[in-house]
This record gives sequence, C-alpha cells and structure tokens, in this order.
Amino acid sequence: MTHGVDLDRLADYTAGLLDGTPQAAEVAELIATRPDWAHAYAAFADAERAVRVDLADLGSEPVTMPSDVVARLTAALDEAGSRPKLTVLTGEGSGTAGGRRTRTSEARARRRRQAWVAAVAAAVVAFGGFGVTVLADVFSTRSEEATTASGAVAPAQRGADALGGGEPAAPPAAAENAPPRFTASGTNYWPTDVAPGPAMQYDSASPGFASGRTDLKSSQVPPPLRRLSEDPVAINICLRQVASAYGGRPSLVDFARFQNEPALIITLVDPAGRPFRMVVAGPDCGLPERGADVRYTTPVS
Amino acid sequence: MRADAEDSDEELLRAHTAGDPDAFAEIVRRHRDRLWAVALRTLGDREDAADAVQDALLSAYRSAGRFRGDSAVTTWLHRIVVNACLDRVRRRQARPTVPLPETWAVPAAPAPDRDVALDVRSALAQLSADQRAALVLVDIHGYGVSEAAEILGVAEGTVKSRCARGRAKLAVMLGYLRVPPGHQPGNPASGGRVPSGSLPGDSTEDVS
Repeated sequence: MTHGVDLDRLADYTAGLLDGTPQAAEVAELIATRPDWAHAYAAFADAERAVRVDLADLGSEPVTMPSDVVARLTAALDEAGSRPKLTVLTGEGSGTAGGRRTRTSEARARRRRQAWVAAVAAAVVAFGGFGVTVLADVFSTRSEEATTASGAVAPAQRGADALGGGEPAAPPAAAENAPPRFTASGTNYWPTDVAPGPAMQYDSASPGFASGRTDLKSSQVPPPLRRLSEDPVAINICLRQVASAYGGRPSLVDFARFQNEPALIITLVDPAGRPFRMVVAGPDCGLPERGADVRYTTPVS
Repeated sequence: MRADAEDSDEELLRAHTAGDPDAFAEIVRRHRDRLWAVALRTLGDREDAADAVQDALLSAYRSAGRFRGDSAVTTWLHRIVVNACLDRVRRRQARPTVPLPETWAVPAAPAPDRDVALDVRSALAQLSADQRAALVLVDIHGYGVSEAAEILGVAEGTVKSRCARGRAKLAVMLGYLRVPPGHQPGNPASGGRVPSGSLPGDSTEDVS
C-alpha cells in the first residue's frame, strides 16, 4: 500500500501478531517514516481500549432467552424426542405409536417437514375450491412426497372441482407477488402429527384477504385469533413480521391451533413459489414488542 | 438414570445418550440464556438467532452420542451455536427477502433514540461475521482466546487477528480513531459514530 494507513496491518502489528516476521519491520518503518502511520499508531492503543470498554459494557447487559423462543425450542426438542404419530401423507405407512425415537435420519425429518406442509394444504383443500388453488400453488413444483400428498386429498379436490370451485394452478413465476390464502381449518397441529384435523366449514367462494376482505367464518377461528382474522391491518403487520424474519412470502395462512393453543400456521414460499419454511405464530403476532410471536418453526427442504 | 439438577453437564449428557428424557432439557435450561446472547449478538437479528439456536440445539440433541469429552459441554454447545449462526449468515446472504405487495404497506415505526449501546451494535453488524463472532466471544462474553479458538475451530492467532482487526474497524466507526481520507472505513466525512456502508479491507485473510 502506498497511500494511507492499512488498518488491518496496523492492528496485527499492534497485537504482536507480526512479531518475528518481515512484515513487522515493514510496519515499524512505516510508523517511523510516515506521519499518518505514526499518528494512527499513537492513537491506536487508546482507541482500542475504548472499544474494549464499549464491548464489555454491551456484554454486561443481561440477556435472557425470550419466553416465546423458549417455548418453540422446547417444542422442537419435544418433537426430536418423539416418533412421528402419523405419516400417511408421506406414504410411510400407517401411524406409529408415540414413544422415544431411537434413531433420527435427516431424510425422515425432511419427509416429515414436507408432510407438515401437506397437512396444512390438505386441511385447506378438503373444504373448498379456494383450498384447491392453494394446494396447486404449494405443490406445483414439489417432489414425490408432494405428489403422494396431493393424491391423499384427491377425492376432496375432485369434489371441489365438480362444484366449480377450483381454479387453475398459477405457475410459480406468477405466484411471486400473489397475496396469501387464508383459511380456518379447525386443525390442531402437532410437530409430529401431520393429520388434518376435524372437518371445518369454509366458504368456497371466499377470496380471502386477496381482495381486501375476508369471509372466514368467525365461528371457525379460535377467539384469540380474531384480532388477526377480523383486522386486515393486524394480519398484514403480523405477516410482514414473519416474512421479515424468515424471508420469502406467506402463501398460506391457517387460523388453527398448535399443540392445543390458538395459532397461525403459515407456509412461506420462495420467489418460485416453493415452500421452504413453516412458521407457527401465536395470537400476539404483530403486536409491539412481540414481533412475529413465533411458537415453532421448521424448514421445509 | 434420571436427570438431576445437581449433575454436571457431562453427567447429564451421558444420561441423555442413555435415554433419560429430561437430561438434555436440563442442559438447555442451564445454558440457554448464554447461548441465546451469543447467537443474538453474532447475528444481530432476533428471529435469525432463534432459528440458529433451535437448529444448533436440535443438532446437539441428535449428535450427543458423538461428544467425546475433549472439551467442556458448554464449549461444545457454543461451537455448535456459533457455527449455526455463521451458517445462517452465509445462507441469509444467498436468499434475499421477497418484497411484499404494495397493499401490505405498513407505516414504519419511528426510530428509537440512539445510544452508545445501539451504536456499538450497529457497528458490530457491519463487521464480517468471522470478526464479529470472535469479538462477541472474547470482548463481549469474556471467553479466553484459546477457548474462543476452540469454539470457532480456528487457530488462536486467527482469533487474535480477527479481534484486533475488528476492534480497529470499530474504533474508526465509533469515532475513537481517525485515519486519513481514502482509508477510513465507512463515511470519512461524517465524523459520526456509525457511518453507513460496508467496510473496505474487511479481509478474511487473518493472521494465523
């Protein structure tokens, strides 16, 4: 370097990291012969000390893991310690009894995550053409597991088509700026339980919030979630928090339950429309100080 | 064998691998705040930190049987968490957020009053992830260089270099050190505490 001070070299030199190397002599010469280097070197020790004090002060601030993070971490570890309860949507056979898992493979975990997406989509598709659109959107580019999942709900889909409620699947590129789809499936989701919940009623003509209104039947929305289901501004803030936290955009939102607690089950998709993450948000999603109120999340890959 | 709050971390980890359903939760309860603080300060983002800690502890849960006891359990956990953080930094750089439709517009909240701690956090966020992780461990959380090197999986000299270079950049950004125009990181004309923009010479070629 011929002009100015090379801070990295000066920092290494001052820390003694160049001792015994030819570079140490070079830096020493620069300090001896160049006013800018001499000035920086003279000020360096005090400046570094001030930085250390600032950093130590930062470290002295107490930091406690927030309760919502503790909750989702606990749920994730509980999931890791349990066998999948039902895997019918992945074609892995009928349900296995609960109990402790003795071996975990990433492939199985991945299939279960994908089955989770399938469960959310299936919970929607079972009750109207609106859901059919969602299913097509979510799984339009998915793999074998997605095909299996799609097959698992095919009767409901055919029924919806017969009613004229279905819509053609949008290609992934067209989905990039699509608004999210909303539903209230009544499902009680578990990390390891991918079965759709009990039947719900859903207005198949509903455009959801896509057109600025929602026809979700309020009786199907758990009361603690009605702040979000009845106020487009509130749900927008919530979903922006989720998208900001994880990237992508929400494609599907189910006003449902997670481990018996009211929760939004949100499917995030990438720019191509492929789901890459499921997020479970609590009723306080979007409120000040609560962020996305995430209760659980898992990648889908 | 059942987990006991008085058991050492090593005993709890052995109990976990032997099938004790409560042992790992006790380890997490003991260390979660410190692991959370490291993740939060390394990533600078609450949700990313939550993801990283969750991914890391799930990984630790599953791989506990491979823990050989060469280091303390807490060092092992920190290593997994820090690696998860650095991995997230790399993935975050590879996946941009999709802009939301215009109809989602939400008024921005007013900016809170700035203070020194906020300035330090903002300045830290402008360092390379490797330098930031080293400073978080050594200067913020008080780990020794040797333990930080073990956590980061690099030589002690590398940790020293990352810390020294990181401190030098912070010194400039925070206004403690002035360098001639053309070589001052960030905004040379501002004289402010935290200029914007990336830093030149944010090299990863640390001395080792």
